[in-house]
Amino acid sequence: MTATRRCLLLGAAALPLAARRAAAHAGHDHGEEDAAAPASAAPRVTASSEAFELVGLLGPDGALTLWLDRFADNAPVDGATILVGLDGQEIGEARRVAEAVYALRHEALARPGTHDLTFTVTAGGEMDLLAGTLAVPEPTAPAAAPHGLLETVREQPVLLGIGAGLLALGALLGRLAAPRPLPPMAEPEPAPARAPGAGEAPPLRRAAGPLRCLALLVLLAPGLALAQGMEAPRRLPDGSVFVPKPSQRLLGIRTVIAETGEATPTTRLVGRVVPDPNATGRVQPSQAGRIEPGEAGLPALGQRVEQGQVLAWVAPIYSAAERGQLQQGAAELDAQITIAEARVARLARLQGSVADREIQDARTELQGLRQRRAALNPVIAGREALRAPVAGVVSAVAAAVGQVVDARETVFEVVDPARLWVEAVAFDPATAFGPIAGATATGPAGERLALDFVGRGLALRQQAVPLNFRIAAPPAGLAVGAPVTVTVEAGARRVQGIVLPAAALVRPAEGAPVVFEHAAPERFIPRQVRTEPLDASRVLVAAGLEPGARVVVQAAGLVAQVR
Amino acid sequence: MTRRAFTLALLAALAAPGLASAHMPAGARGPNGGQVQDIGPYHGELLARDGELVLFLFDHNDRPVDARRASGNAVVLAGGHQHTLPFEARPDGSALVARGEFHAVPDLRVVVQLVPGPGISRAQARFTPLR
Repeated sequence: MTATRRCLLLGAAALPLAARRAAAHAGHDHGEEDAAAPASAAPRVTASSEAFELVGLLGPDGALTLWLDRFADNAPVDGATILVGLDGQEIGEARRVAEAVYALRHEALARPGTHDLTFTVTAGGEMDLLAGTLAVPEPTAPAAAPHGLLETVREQPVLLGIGAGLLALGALLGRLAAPRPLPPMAEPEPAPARAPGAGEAPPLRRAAGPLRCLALLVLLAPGLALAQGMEAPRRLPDGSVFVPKPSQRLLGIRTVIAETGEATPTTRLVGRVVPDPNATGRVQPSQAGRIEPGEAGLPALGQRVEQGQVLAWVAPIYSAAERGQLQQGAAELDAQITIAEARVARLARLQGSVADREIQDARTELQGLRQRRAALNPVIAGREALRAPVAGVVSAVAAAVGQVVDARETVFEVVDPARLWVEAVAFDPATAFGPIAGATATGPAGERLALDFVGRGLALRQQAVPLNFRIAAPPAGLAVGAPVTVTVEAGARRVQGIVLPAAALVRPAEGAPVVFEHAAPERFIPRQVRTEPLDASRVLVAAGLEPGARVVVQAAGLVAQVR
Repeated sequence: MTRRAFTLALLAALAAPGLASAHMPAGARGPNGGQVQDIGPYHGELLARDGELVLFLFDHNDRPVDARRASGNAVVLAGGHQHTLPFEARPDGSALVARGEFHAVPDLRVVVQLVPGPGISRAQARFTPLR
C-alpha cells in the first residue's frame, strides 16, 4: 500500500466524523434565531403559541410592558388576562394599560441574568400557556468620575509643556505666513471714507459663528439622546425588517398563514361599462318640433323616472307649404261636413217618405267626415309626448325649452343603474373562443365587480372579439363608459400554489415581486416570489414561499419602505 | 488492502452523513411517542397521561442523557387550572417524572423549566404533548 493511498484512506475514514458534526444540526439551532432584535434594543422577551404571540419589553425598574396579538393574523388581543410566572413562581397579573397592551412591574425582573418567564393568557374562552426567556444584561458600569482638565494638567506637566510649545510654534508659523500688504501699483491716494458701521461689524460677526454652532449643539443634544432611546423600525443587515410591536400596531400589520391551494389562471382584458340594452332607453321625437316642458318641467340629470312617464312635449313645426296643405284639407273637410249636416237634416224631416237606408247612409258619411276632421286636429295644433321608454335614471339631457329638434334626434337617455353590462375585447383566441368559467372586474375606484358571462360577438372589432358580461350587483356610482379591467378565468387549466390577496405583494423598484414573511414576532423577512394573477384581488404564488409561513397581507407596502 | 476495500470504505464514508442527519426536529414525535422540543442544548421528549408527566432527555445526537443530573419543574395548564410540579429523576436515570392533580386533556400545555446538568444553564421549553 502506497503512502498516497494510505492518506486517502485516512481521509475517507475521517469524512463521516466531519460530516456528522456538520449534519447534526442542519436547519436546527436551538433558539438562536429568536435573537432577532438588534443588539441596541431594550431587553425583550418573545413567546408564541398556536394561538397567541406575545412581546414583552423591559423598561427601567423591572417594568415589563406586554403586547399580545393573535399568532395567525397579528390582530391585537384586548381584554385578556396575563398571569406572569418567573422561574416557576407566579409574580403577578399584568394589568391593561392601553388597547391590547399590558404592564407589570416587579423588581425581580430588573435583576441581571436570564429569566425564564411563563405567561398564562386567558382571552375570552381561550387559555394558553406561553414560555419566553428574558435576558437582562449587566448594567453598564457608571462612567468614571469626570476627569477634569486641571487634574490632567497637574498629573502631566510634560504634556502641558509640549502643548504650550506647539501652540507657540503654531502662532509663530501663522505670523510668518500672514499675508503682507503689497506695495501699491499706483500713486497712493487718500483712503476713501468707509461707510459707518461696515468696519466694526466683521470681528463681531466672526465671533458669532462658532457661538451659534455651540448653541445649536446644546439644543440638539437632548433630542439626539432621546432618539437613541426610542425604537424605530429598521432594516437589519441580513435584509430582513425589524418592526417593533408598537409600530406594528400603528401600521396595522395583518398576516395570513400561507396554504397551498388550487386555482384557475386568468387573463386580463380591457373593458368598459355599457348599459344593458334591455334596460336603457333613448328618447327621440318622431318628427321635427319645438320642445315644450312637461308638467314638472324638463327632467334633470340623475332624476329617476318611471316607464311611460312624460318627459317633455314636442310641438310639430311645418313649412308654409305643409301648413297650407293641411289648412286646405281642413277647410275642405269643414265644407263637406256642412253639406253633409244639411243633407242629414233634410232627410230627417222627410222620414217616412224616403228610405231609412238613405238616412242611415247620410248619417254615417257625416260621422266619417267628423272623424277625419278630428284626426287632423292634433296634426295642426297638437303635440307629441316624449315618454321614458324604460324606468331608470336620466343620464343625458340635450334639450332646452323652446329648442327645435329634428326627428330622430336623441333628446334624453335613460339608464337603469341596477342593470349594467361590461363590454371587453379579447385578442387571445383561448379567451375569445374558449369556455369562460368565471369573470370579475376591477372598477375605476378599485372596486371589485362580479361578472356573469353573457355572450360573445362573432364580428371582429379592431381584430378582437367583443365579449359581454353582466355585472351581478352594480355598485352605486358606477358610470356608463367607465373603464374596467376584466379578469377572466378561461380554459380548464388548474395551477397549484399559494393563493394570497393582491395587497400582500410588494413590487420593489427592481427585481421580482416580494412578500413579507412574519418570521419572528418583530421580524419580517422579504421573500422573492413568482406569481400569477388570479383575479382582481388575488394572486397565486407559484414559487418562493413555503406553506405555513405567515405572510403580511395588510401594510406590506409600509414594511417595504423601512430602510 | 485491495481496491475493493477502498471503494467500500469510501461508500461507507458517503453514506454516514445520511444516517447521522436522521434526528429529531422540534415538534416531532420521539422514540417513546411523545412530543420533542429543544431544551437548551438537549432535546426533551414529554409524555403526558392523567396525573403524570415523563420527560426523556437526549443530546444532540439523540443519545439518551442520564436524567439524575437534571432538575427542574413543569408548569402545567390543563382544564383552566395551572400547577407547578417538580420533576424527579427515575432511579435508573432514564427519565424525569412529575406527578400532580391534572387530566391529560387535548389542550394540555406544559412549560418545562430545567437545569439539564451541573454547569449547564437553565433552559425552558413549551410542550403541547397531546396535540
